[in-house]
Amino acid sequence: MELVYYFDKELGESPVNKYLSQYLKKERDLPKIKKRKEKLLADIDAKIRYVFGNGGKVDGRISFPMRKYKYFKIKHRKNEELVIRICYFCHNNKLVLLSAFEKPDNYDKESEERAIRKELDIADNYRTNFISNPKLYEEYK
Amino acid sequence: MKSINKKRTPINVLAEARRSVDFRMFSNDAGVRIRLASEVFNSRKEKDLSQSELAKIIHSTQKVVSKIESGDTNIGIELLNRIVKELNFNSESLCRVFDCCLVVNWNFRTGDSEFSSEYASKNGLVNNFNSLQTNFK
Repeated sequence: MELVYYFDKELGESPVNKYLSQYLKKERDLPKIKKRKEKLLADIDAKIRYVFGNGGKVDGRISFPMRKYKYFKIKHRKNEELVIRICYFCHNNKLVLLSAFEKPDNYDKESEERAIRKELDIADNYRTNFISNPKLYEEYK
Repeated sequence: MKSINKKRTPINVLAEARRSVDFRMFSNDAGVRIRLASEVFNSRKEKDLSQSELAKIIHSTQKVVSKIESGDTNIGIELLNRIVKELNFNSESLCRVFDCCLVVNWNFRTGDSEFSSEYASKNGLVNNFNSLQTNFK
């Protein structure tokens, strides 16, 4: 099996890579911010690799099924209020990372729910696009 | 006049991050947390305990157990010690968590073996040793 990012033509890059780019340390960042960013990226990378090592199987601890969608999610707690979700699915011996977004633990506003639903629909579109064009990927390095 | 609206070339974020020494250290830490998460989860299931029941035994909360099992938290040495004792982790489980080698002192005459718990097994070394020992006996 191969671990890959879905590549979006419109964005000109992988949506997961684009999401993760906010955590790439910058020169002007304070040392503690740099460390926090690196730690977060290392944690996410370790979880992705763990799920990949498991063949993409859902274990109910790190990877979970999605209700109403034909893909899965990797959860990583960013802080006490926010969880990072990385959507993925397996196709033609590839584990494809579709998209990533943040979801608050508790939300009661309809607008927030709509925003999350939109993210999930976007990931579903990526999945459909990849199935129709399996060349839309880039290597996970 | 030069155009300043150059198209940004996407950087492979994780490949870039991997170049840092700190990132590699954090990666190792995350690996230990995830392996510990699997060991705790499997041992808890073997003992047929719920997260709340385990939390009660180790004097913690269900939320903490859940975070340990999802690899989201760093636990202190005291809590780790309680988990190891209450879930009866053997040297093989500890070896898997800390990903190092196990040294076995085995007396070939008596067949007695002594696993040195300060080291850990890697790549099924203990299993191989156990089968070797059984065959020898």
